[in-house]
Amino acid sequence: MSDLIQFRLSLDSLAKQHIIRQIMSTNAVSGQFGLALNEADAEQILAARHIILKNLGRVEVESGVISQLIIVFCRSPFINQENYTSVIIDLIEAFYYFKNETRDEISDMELIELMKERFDNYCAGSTELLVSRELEDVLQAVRQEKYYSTLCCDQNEVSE
Amino acid sequence: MNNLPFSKHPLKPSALNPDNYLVSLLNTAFASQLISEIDIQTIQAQVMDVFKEVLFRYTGGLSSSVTTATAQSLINSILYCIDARLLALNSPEESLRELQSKPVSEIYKDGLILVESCLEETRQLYALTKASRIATDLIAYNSTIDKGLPGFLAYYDPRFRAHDTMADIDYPLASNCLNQRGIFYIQEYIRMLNLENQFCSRFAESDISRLLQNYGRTYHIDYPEFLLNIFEIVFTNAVFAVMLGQGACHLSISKSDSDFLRSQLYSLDLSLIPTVLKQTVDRLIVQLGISNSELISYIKSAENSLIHRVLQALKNDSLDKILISDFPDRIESATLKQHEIMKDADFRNLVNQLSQPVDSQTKSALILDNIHTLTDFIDILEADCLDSQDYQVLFQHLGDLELSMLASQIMPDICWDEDAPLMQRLSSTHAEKEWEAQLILYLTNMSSEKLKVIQQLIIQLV
Repeated sequence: MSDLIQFRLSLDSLAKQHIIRQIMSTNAVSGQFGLALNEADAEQILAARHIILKNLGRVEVESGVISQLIIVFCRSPFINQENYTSVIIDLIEAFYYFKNETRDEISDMELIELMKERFDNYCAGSTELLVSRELEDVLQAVRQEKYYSTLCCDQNEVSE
Repeated sequence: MNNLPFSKHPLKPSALNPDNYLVSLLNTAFASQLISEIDIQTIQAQVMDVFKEVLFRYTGGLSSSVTTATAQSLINSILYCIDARLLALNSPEESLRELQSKPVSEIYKDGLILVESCLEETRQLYALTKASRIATDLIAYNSTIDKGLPGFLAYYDPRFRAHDTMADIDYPLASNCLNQRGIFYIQEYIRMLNLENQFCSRFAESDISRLLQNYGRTYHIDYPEFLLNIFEIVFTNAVFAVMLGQGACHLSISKSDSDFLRSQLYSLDLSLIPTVLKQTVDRLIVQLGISNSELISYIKSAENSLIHRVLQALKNDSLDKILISDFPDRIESATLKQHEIMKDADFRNLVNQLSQPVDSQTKSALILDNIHTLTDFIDILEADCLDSQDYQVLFQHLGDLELSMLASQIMPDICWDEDAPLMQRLSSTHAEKEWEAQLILYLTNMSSEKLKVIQQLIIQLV
């Protein structure tokens, strides 16, 4: 029983049902845009996050960014009910990948909003383009400590 | 949570790991059926709740995730604080009761307060220790006090890295610290360093400095560069000085006293050595007027180490490596160091004069009148203006000190001691230059008594 008390960080120790309820509560917002997740979808997203976090060497408590991502991205014209779950999973993976690559220098909401803006305006809803092209630019800027100036320019361009 | 009867299943402190106390306590208690699996899961879940709070503070609420390495570090920091609180209680049973009666978040907060107050106490102790520092050239000692310890105390973070012991602390203490991590380790390290300083402050700084120099010469090392413990060296010689009946504050032991003491100790039965040393240490404590029980206890722990080292040295016939005896003061070759090197023009002029057909006595007089440094002297020997007879006549005009200086130049890598006679060394020395061969020839024709004197001078020079 020596393994009984090992304070390993894993989702197993967290209340799974509680997180699933948190994810499904986003339906109240996404429903306005014709999108909804059932319990099986929420479980699929949660299971995918578990694997993604493990593969990318990260730890998150509770539902973390899932709900935030859904609330922001459900407004995208490129997401429909058919691709909803798979796109959310792809976005979760992209999100954690860039958290690692930027060494956590960008806050969760900053990164989500940046992803949303690029996803809608430059990638036509392609998560592949988002990762391989758009966010690489952001990454380069962060590495050169030019992130904030890049972000300012982009916001100006969008507003124009 | 259930409270179970402790009297039937006492938790042995020795079975618990102080560096991983909570985990080892729960494992042991579970094995003894003092805590249920459900209670353990509840405690684990409460630790995770504390982790969430700490994570939120760590990211400033701007990120809900961190890398696995960061998360593990935060968990270790939390467990360190919980352990601090549980270890402050009187017994493992009491610690277990605390876990069963209080939320983990409260235990964590109590532990965090203990860690923070320990940090403050340690800062004050460091200031005292720095004020009582020993004036020494020892690099590790100085860098630990001036950089390693203040650097750690400035950047130590009880909330997020309480378990951290990352510090540039190179100076080795005479005893090992029991606490292995975090601020409790640093506090114990500084406490022990302070005790060592207190002991050494009873001796004159010049005596300690001289003892360390003699230590370096005994081991043929440049002592400031080495990881030595000053207290251990001072304590050892102080014990031997008391054994010799010298005053307690004396660290200096002459060669003859050292030889006498060695012969006395070698004549004793090994079984008597511990008693003799213990009695001497007791006398040392009294004579130095030490009444601080903490310092006495520290000296007693050093006493055990000393007994072990002395017994080993007696078995290996190496007591002279523990008992550091005086070396005669280094001879300052005043006549050769107070003058500057000759100017090139003057040197060329002298070589021209020596190249003229003059007798050996005149050449010797010219050299001795004009040359005042060893460098110039060797340059003139190598200037191709002397023949074999000139060399022999010139060497006749040199004193023992000058001859020993020249001899040490042609045998620089030899470890000089009195075991091997100079004659034996000369016969095995290969001369690369004419003057070296002439010097070896000159020295080998000297009497053995004269060579002994020169050898002694070489030992003092090296």
